[in-house]
Amino acid sequence: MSTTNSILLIEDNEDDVFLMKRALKGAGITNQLRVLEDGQRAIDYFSGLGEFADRDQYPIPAIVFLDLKLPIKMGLDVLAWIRAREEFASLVVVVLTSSNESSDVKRAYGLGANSYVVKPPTADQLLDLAKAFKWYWLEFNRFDRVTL
Amino acid sequence: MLLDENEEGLLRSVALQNARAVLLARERAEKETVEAKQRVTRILESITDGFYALDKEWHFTYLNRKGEEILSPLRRSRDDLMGKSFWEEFPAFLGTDIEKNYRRAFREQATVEFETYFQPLDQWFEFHIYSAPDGLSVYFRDATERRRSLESLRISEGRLRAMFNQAAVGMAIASLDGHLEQLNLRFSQFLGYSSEELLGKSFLEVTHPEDLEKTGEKVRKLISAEIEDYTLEKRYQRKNGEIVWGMTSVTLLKDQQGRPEKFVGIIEDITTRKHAEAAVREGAERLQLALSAGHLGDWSWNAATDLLTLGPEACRAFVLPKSSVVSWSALREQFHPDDRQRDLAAVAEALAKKSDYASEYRIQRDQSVVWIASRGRGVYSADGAIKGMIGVVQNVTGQKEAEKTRSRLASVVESSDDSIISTGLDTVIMTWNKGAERMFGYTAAEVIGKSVAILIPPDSEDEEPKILQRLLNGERIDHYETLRARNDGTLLNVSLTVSPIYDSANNIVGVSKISRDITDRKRAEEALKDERRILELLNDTGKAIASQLDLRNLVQTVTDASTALTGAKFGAFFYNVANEQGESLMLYTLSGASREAFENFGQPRATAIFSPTFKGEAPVRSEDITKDPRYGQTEPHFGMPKGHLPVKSYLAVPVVSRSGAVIGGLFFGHPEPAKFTERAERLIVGVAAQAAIAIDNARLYDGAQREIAERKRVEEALREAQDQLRRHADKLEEQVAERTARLRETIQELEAFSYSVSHDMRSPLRAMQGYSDALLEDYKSKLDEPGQDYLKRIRRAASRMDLLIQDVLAYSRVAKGEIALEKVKIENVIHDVIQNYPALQADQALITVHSPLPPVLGHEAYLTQIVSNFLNNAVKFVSPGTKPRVDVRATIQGDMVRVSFEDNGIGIAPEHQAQIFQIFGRVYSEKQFEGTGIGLAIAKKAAERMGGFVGVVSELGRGSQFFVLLKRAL
Repeated sequence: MSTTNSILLIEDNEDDVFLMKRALKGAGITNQLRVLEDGQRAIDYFSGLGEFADRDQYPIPAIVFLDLKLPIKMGLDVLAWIRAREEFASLVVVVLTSSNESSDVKRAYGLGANSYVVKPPTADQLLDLAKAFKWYWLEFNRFDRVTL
Repeated sequence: MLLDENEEGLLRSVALQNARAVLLARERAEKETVEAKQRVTRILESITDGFYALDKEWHFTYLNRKGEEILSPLRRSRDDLMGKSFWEEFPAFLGTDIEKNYRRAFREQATVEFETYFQPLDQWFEFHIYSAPDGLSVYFRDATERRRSLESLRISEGRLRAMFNQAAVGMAIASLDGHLEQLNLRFSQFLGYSSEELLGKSFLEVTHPEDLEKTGEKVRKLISAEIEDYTLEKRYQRKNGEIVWGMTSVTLLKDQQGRPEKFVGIIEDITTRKHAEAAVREGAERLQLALSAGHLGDWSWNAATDLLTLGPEACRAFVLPKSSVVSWSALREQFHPDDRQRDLAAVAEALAKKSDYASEYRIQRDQSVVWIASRGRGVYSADGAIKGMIGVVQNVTGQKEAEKTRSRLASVVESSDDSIISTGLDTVIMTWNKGAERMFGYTAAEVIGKSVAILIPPDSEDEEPKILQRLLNGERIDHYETLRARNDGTLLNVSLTVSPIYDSANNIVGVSKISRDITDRKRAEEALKDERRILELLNDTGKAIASQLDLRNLVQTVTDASTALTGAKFGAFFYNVANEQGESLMLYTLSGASREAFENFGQPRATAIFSPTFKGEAPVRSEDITKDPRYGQTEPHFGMPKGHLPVKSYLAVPVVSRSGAVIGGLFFGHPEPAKFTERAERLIVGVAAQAAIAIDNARLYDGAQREIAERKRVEEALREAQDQLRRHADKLEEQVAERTARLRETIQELEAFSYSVSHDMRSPLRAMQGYSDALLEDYKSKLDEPGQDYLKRIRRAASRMDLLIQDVLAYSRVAKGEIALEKVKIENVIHDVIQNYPALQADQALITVHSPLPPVLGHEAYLTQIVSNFLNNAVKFVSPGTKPRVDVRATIQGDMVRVSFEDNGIGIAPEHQAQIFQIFGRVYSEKQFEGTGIGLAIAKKAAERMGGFVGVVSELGRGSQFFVLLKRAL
């Protein structure tokens, strides 16, 4: 049983992963960051299947950044899966996507997203986001630690 | 038999009664006075019989003088015998009838009578012994003489028997119970039995059953002595069953004491007489029947008694009991007072003149007065003296009434307008009334006695005998219509009623004929019938014509009908149609003649006769066309062609169309002259007019038919075209559906596309921008000025690309999304937009919203697109150095709201105004004015989606006014 304040980024785009990591680093966020490239692996991760059985190695994160457009399983499917599990009810999931479609926004909140953020186009804006994120989520927000 | 004894018996019984009286007297005398006794004795002394009395010891107490005398031969005196015993004095009587009877009389205290022969005196004595308790009284007399005569009678009896047996009448003696004991030959012959068979039979056995009762009645009366004898006419049944009539006289034979002993009957055969009587009676009955049938009553008057004997019918006539006998004067009392004297006079006259009596008088019967007619004829003796009168009466009230009626009827007959005549069976006219005189023109004097045949037209000679025969067969001939001839030879239609005339015996003796002149009625009827026929024909024709649209049939119908109407032998319709050569065409219809009959003559040409018709002039009607001056004027035939049906009567009527053109003519012919009346002409003119209309109609119909056919063809083509169109449309629809499906597919693809655009296309842009930024930040020192500028250009291009993508996505969202319109306060939208864009802030631009703006029906996001585009454009397209100014106003235009955005910008040339609303439609280069060129297209699309539209009013260099028309919210 392992709870950390690690951050899990579920994102398939390497560029976005790079720029995100750079922005987080730029904002001074030092929390452990793990990246999963597709929706299925995300579900496997939370299920603790296969290699993810080791929670020391793969702990339940404090915050999940979830892209919507993902290979194998889409982001909203992953969200739905998470919210269907009682143990992950209080897990903070922030949707981070390039979609500005109001339908996506509506559906994400409907499935229990804690926040919906459109990926900003410039690096500066992304840094601003990371800073705001750190300031709000990591300094003020209180988590209900998920225990497994 | 022994008939003379009756008288003697009578005397004797008188004597006996006397003796009884004497005895009583004596008893009284003994009781009362000696004198009375002596008187009795004197009586006894005076009687002619011997008498003595004995006491109960048989001693003589008295003997009269006659007795002494009778007994004198025995030399016994009265004095000797007195007190002496009878038996001692006359011992010879002992043991004889005398002793026996004396003792019986005394013992039984009865009266005993007997005769006995008294030997000592050689005499017969007759004794009457009257017994009394103290003795006997005995009368006796010498019966010798009587006995002797009896003997002599007995001797003659044989002779009588012979007479009995041979009598011409039947005789029989029967016991009281009816059994025949003696009968003679005639009797047995009468009954058809032998004597032996009859003896022992009862006479009742041979009596006819129906006469048994009355015979029995008579017999009973005879025996009970109610009658002495009877005579009956009665029937007997003979052995062979035959019935014979016998006049039967029966007396009762009595014994000495007067007691009935036998029946003695004498029967005379009266069968013949009876039959004769029956015949007479039958005759009389028949007479009565005849009288009765004729309601005749018979009467006879006896002059000697002045009594009238009335027969049954006569009684009925006078309401008197049956078989009344009244005096004439009594009968006359019933007469009406006014009629009595006249009747009396009639009787007197008949008697005086020895003529028949005839009288009629009234009698009151019940409530009515009855007329009686009486006729009589005197009956006179050989010397001419009146013995009486026989006659008949009859109730003649009916006749009297009939007479009155008859006289009334006679006046009716005489005054009748009808001819009323009568003839005998020999057809000879007997009566002839005024009506007949008027009707037939003969006076009564002229025709009475002549045969009725003078009234009968020659060709109906056999009519009269036939009628007569039918009448004799008991038929009644009522309202029989026939023809009769007047004296001037003119014929009359008469309605005849023929009735038989009967005599009183109900034989037909003649006929009465009532004729009524129905000539006028007949004529009227004929006219009416004719009229009806014509009307029917006209009606039929009218109907036929109106219903015919086939020209050929129509013309045939007209021809047939009009031929019938005119009574023509044949009729024809000829068309007035000429071909190019000017010849009439062979178009016609015929009626009443075969086509062959006309085939060879060709079409009638415009001869003098025909031309008026073909020219549509007046009808031509001729009683004899061959006598018409126009006839026979034309070559080559100069009249009718050879073989033409003979025509004398001629009628031709033109058939003229509405337009005035002569369609043709109706022609009629008849071989006899003067067949066509003016009326027929008028009728045909009418029919021709009708026919013309019908022919016009038929032609119109033909035209219409052709038109209809044409229209049908057109309609057909139209339908074909429509079908094609429909097929086309169907195909189109198919295509549309197909395309719609494809489109939907496309839209879905497009959605997926735009979705992927918004995600995937922006990712590389973000990467370009992100890496550019990272390069500029992380490697700034290693890049020279141009290198940094390149990176900045890459970042700017990526940024523009992102804007483009966002606008395209916005446009596609506006174009495809389903929206619901709602009331929106456009003012709020404007203020929100102004707030969201730095370029619209008051320091950058002067935007004036002229409140209030009316609310609109719209979609907030779309309105935001429009407003932001309009405002951003307004502040963007200004001349350099000019502070943008925008005035926002709204006006209500009907149910729309016009919201305008007027700027002080550079303006748009009219030729470019349409272009700017197209996607990527730009007027200025991006270099001059930034923008994707999609904004106004989005605004236009958004306005359209909300049921409105956008537009611009602008002049180059003079600013622009963009506006949007939106639905007004109420």
